Amino acid sequence: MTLLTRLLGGSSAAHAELLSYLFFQPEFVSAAIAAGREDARELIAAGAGWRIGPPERYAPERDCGLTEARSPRREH
Amino acid sequence: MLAGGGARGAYEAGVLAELLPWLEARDERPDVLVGTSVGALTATYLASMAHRPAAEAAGGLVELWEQVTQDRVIRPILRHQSPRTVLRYLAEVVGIPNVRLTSLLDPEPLRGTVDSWLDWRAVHDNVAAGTVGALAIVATSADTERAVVFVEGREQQQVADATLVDYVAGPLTVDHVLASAAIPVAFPAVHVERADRRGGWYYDGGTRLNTPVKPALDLGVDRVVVVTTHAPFRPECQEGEAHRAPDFAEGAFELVQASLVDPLIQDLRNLGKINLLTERLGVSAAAPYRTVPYLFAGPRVTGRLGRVVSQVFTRHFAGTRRILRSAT
Repeated sequence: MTLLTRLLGGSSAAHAELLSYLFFQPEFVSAAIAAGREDARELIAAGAGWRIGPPERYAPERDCGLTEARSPRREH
Repeated sequence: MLAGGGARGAYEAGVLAELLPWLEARDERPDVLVGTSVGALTATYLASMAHRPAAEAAGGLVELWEQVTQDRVIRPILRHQSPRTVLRYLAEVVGIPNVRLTSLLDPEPLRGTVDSWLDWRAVHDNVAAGTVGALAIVATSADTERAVVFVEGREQQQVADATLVDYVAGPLTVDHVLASAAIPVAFPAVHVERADRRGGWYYDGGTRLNTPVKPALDLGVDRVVVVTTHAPFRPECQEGEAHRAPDFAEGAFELVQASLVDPLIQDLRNLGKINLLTERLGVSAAAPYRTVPYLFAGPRVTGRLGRVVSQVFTRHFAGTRRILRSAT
């Protein structure tokens, strides 16, 4: 699978997302389980409840506009 | 409702390990299970464990995922698959009869793995006892190119939108699960026998209905827990380097986004809008629509699992030696 990773090439977020569908390595599986547990615990701790309306963004993910205004290259 | 996502199904197992006991404690453990692809595998496993406490069921799911390795899903690429793939492709090009390239990868080990996960007798017993109201598995017909929902248990209560989804009632088997997970191009289609004797070839349900909210609604649920591996939003700004041309993998990722993520976003927005409308109009005025509250259980930010991959890859798989060892 790591060969497939290299064949896909690159290290961008899109490559990583694409790889995640076929990354059946125990290291990823364990990390993904942990991420799922963490997100669910956060959901419960935040007082998870049944929602009626469309989803709303949890929080701004990145200050895209501000970052772009400051620099010709995007920061991550 | 459990969405597809291949190896990302491990994330859903982690979510369920926390969420399912919490729901059970609130007397809200789901009894209708609808899944696509790896979500179908998880849904079927949960159906087989529906008579057990939620913590035991979800804990067992995590234990099974912790045993997953690449060779329990696909055969090694270099040693087994590349020569076979090249030969089959050449044979098909030159016109050798009855030799066709059906997929790039060989998921032969997956059948044994799925079989070892699932207790079908427990599935059928739990459905018959009513512990599971319905188990539904979504696949895509290679013949009609339509989403097909195979249902064991409760039949759909609303008239399904005939332009989108077909429903087939009857006992489920491992073939239904494998068909639901047969990613086109990567994995070969799976032949499924049907109770109505209209068996055929099926691909991954995710190509048409990766987030099967609609089948859950058609099965008459009054609330939906949406377990998925994507945030229900598009990124707020573009990922990657802004000034270079995207490569082929980034192009492929766009196709994945279009087929797996955009429908999730749109389905949840539609559900939310219809809910608001039915609340405002009142149930009788809004018929046949009804208010169906939902609980979204997935990443709250985009790119969540991509970042997990990047961290794992940097930590464990950056060396050339490891790459070659895992490929053979």
